[in-house]
Amino acid sequence: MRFFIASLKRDLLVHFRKPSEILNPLVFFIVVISLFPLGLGPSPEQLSSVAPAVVWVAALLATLMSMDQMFSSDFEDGSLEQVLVSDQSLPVYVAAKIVVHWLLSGVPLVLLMPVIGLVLFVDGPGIWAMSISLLLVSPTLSLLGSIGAALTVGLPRGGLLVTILIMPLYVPVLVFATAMVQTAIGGGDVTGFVYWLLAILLLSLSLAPLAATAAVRISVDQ
Amino acid sequence: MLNWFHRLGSPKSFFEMTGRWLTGLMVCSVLLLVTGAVWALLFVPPDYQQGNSVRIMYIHVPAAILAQSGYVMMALAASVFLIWRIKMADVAVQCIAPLGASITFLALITGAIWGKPTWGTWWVWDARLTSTLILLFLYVGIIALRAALDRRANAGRACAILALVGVVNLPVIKYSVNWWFTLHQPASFSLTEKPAMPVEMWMPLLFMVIAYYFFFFTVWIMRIRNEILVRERGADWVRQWVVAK
Amino acid sequence: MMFDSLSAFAQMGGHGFYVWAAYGVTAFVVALNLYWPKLLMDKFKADEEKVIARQSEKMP
Repeated sequence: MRFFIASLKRDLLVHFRKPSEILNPLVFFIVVISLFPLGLGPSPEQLSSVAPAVVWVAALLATLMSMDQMFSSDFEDGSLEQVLVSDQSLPVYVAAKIVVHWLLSGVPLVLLMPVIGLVLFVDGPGIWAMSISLLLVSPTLSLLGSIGAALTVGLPRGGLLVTILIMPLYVPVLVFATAMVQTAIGGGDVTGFVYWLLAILLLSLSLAPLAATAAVRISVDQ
Repeated sequence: MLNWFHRLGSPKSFFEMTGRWLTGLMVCSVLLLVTGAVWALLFVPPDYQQGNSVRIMYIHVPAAILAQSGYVMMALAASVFLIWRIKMADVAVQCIAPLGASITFLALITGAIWGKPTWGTWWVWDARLTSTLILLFLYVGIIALRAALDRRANAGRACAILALVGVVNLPVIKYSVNWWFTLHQPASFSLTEKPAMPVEMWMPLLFMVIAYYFFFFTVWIMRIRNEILVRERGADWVRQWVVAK
Repeated sequence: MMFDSLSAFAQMGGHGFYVWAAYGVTAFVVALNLYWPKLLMDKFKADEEKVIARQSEKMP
């Protein structure tokens, strides 16, 4: 447990020293979303109807952008290997990385949701649904993405490769999350969707760390 | 019987064993495929709704079936490799990925071509085609990872893990795409339950599925043989084989 | 036989283009998959023969 907290603190500190790593995906997210009105035209009805999909795809891409960095800096300076060789628990280390990633890339997106919703003319229930769904889903994104990050650690153009590998796994998430937001906008009840997203989150929570840890071991152990 | 499995696990004996069966398998595959195609083209009655374009079903459905079961077979080989570290299992995974991808591609193309006379457009984001597209992305991911890792020592295990992650997600993806499609199904277009197929129609389909399986295993074995040669390059038995013929 | 004539067979009741395009692509991919490994194997053999020949020249 102490190792978990220590890893968490260390990673947060490292990231805060280089804020660009946190800010770049956020800026990317905002820029991508801003491009859509420019492409589609300013009509509120049109924008609010595409808003769920646009926001979600932008969120997925922004998350994937920062994904390949998860283990790469530790890999490059050798500390990843140190963790492997030491008697510190690798699953705990990986879990800490995932939590940090979620805190730094998932949570800011959730906090931005009301603003984005306003800009895309999404109404109150819609913004609520977007925030809740992103809150539920962003840990899943970090969890699944960590598998991709672990598999591609140290590879050139790893970011692109992670995107190719992990995108198919994000499809169920995308489907349910956008449907949830669309239902909310239409005034419907979203409890069912919440359960679905929760189920996916729990499934990822139980299986992804296993896969990611195994993948880290394999990638370092060349 | 156990001895037979044991011999499959050794590159050299796999190579020699399959060498004996290969021509037979190839001939069998081609014969079965041609017979099935002729049956589908000439002897199946046209569908009362789709007319003669239903004949495309006989090359689309087997491809789609094999695309999916190919992925499952790949995942099985991957788990054998991860659990028992049998190198031949890794060779199997490496060789099945491009084959699976090309069959998935075939399923997509024949599906699209079938779609045009049936639904009026070349592409429809229906449940089946969309999940086949995602399956193609899954295959491409395995191929891309293998290429990026380029014969490093960990390439086999990394790809195996990816294959297993994919196979676990496959039912979830399929279910969510099916569900998504029922949600968005436009009113004018309905994928109604097809009435049960009469014997004249499902027999050739079954036949074609078997033919495709033969074809799949044949090509898989051919690719495995090539990969064995590449990996065992320089070994005595390879040199002898090269010089012999 | 479901068709009366060769031209009826080719036209497939108006769906000829689609049926033949689909079967054509399939035949192409099937043939490619059956042929490509054989091509690679022949190439491997040719390359290895050269390597072996060079190595046996070097040996006394």
